[in-house]
Amino acid sequence: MSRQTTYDAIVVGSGMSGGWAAKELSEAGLNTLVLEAGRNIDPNTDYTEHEPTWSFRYRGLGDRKTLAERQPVQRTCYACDEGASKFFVDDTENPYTTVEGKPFLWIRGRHVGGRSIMWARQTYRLSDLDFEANAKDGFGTDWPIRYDDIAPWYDYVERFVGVSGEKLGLPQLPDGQFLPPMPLNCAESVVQGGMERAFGRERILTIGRTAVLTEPHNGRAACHYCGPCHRGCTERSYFSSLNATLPAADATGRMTLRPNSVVAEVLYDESRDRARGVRVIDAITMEETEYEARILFLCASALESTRILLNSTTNRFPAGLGNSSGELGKNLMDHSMGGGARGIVPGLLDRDAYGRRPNGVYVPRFRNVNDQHPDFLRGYAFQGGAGRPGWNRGVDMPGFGADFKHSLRDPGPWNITFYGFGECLPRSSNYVAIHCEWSDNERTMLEDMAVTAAEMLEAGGVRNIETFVEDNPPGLTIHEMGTARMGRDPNTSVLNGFNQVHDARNVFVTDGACMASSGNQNPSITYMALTARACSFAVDQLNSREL
Amino acid sequence: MDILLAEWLDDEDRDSFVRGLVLVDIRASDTYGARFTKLSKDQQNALLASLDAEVTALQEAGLSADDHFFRRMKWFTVYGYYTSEIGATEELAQVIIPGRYDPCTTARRDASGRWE
Repeated sequence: MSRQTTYDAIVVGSGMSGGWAAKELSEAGLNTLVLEAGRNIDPNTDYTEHEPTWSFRYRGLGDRKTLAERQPVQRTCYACDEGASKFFVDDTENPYTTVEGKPFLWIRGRHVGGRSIMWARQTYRLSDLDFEANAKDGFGTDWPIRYDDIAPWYDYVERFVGVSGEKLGLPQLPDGQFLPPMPLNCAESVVQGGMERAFGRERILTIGRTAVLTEPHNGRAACHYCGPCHRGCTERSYFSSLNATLPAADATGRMTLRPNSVVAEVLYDESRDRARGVRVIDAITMEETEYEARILFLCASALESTRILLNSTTNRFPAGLGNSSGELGKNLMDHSMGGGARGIVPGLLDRDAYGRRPNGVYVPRFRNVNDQHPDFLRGYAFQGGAGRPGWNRGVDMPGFGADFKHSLRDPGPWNITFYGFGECLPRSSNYVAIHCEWSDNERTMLEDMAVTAAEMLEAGGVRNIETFVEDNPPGLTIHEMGTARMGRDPNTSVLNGFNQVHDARNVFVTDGACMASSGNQNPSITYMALTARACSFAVDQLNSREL
Repeated sequence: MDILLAEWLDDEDRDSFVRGLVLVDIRASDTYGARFTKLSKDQQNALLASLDAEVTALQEAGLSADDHFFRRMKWFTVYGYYTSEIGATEELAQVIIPGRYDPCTTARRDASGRWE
């Protein structure tokens, strides 16, 4: 029996970007092969969001010793808990090198659906403040696109994804196609009111914009507020490729999804000046197969797509396919995070929230929007939220016995936290081997986050305010990007304005690798929009015989 | 608690916890002349209160109480109880699938643990 090895399109990766490429290309009529390096996921057996704590052997604390041995990097991610650690790679089987004293925490999912299963679902558009930033201050190279180029594609993907949020009319954070927003809880409303009186429209507290459904959407159910989204969602209420795009691609009958397929390299046909396919190693049998197609979409995640290109060496491209500029693998970025403040919101002790809202609050960027801060470039936004602590506080509360137990029936006082996420400048000195470190710009911005967060909490009537500036290594924000940047000039960039590799026009890279700058917004929706846009372009080019 | 002790803790921390149990009996014998389980309820409470006060004193002095036997005992007890079926569903009336989000409710659990 012969196996089909020739397709119209090959998509490498099945996560946030790959799912979109699979959907768009197969819906456009292309026979599409999706290659996923990891195993298949079965929501019926792999999702554990409704498993009660007592059903876990370590009550949700995780198998501490095995985690320390097999997942020392992955366990630093909050979502790598006892119910979801299986969605994170085994670090001993997936090694990478960093420079001594400069850690980079590479948090990875290697399975069908990728990190779209465990993502934090926050969804914010970039704006022209972001797309013009490189051209204005000279860090990195100019984006080849502007907001108008991507806006219709944000609309397009958001309509399918289902994003709940509040419209604000802010130029630095464009509104989207929103489902009804989730509500602020009582303490968040109080702080919002105080901030409004003190800062007007300059610093705004809004509910997070999130890819979680607040009403039924495209055959998927509205959220039932169970809480632990990172363990999966059998109701498909939050967006993941497994929940939405891959089923849509599958419904065309033109998608072939092949798990356990590790792409070793892109095969380049020098006589025809184009990529002809990929060489795949089966993760189980180690058997090698070459698959061919007219177009390739690399959507394997920023660093994996970059690795595939760097490993695709030929006489013509000895430093890797797409690396004629020498920029492939450079300009690695991640958002800095962890400057902020927390405190107690007084009163409201007869009030509480019912249900576990899988979303927090958001303070859009306000630094370097209309003026220029003397100490740093670019900006940051805050995520956070208010809540009342539960029984966990009992561990460090004096007392024991019946009275102690009774006092833990009711929750503790309302507390609120603002936690900053900052833009990272593109710098060629940060590159994959992996060598990555923060610069003074990111560090100064973290300090400023602590100051402005405290100012806003104070304006909101919050007491006992404590500021913090965490020392988180790059990687941990899990927004790594930039290592195959888009640009206008083939001499200084890897991809053009449609995510096409300058060196090989039938190869597209549409995951985080393509980013020319980072903004401070959670990036997934931008990857999705750029993927859908590049697919449309590729299909048009195929139809007009340009490709 | 058995599983956490046997499999989850490092050997050193497990041994220190088991030594802590022995030290409680030694303190009971020194103070009251009998093992902890043989003491009256008041004597047991007084002994536990003295251990609890040691933890609080450490914390108030800004020192870590993480290695203190009683802090670890309390952590195990609180964590174990509230993550158990009886602790989560009967004591706290937690619901796995709330079905809705009410951002600012005055509802409380009634005497039987159900939400009003």
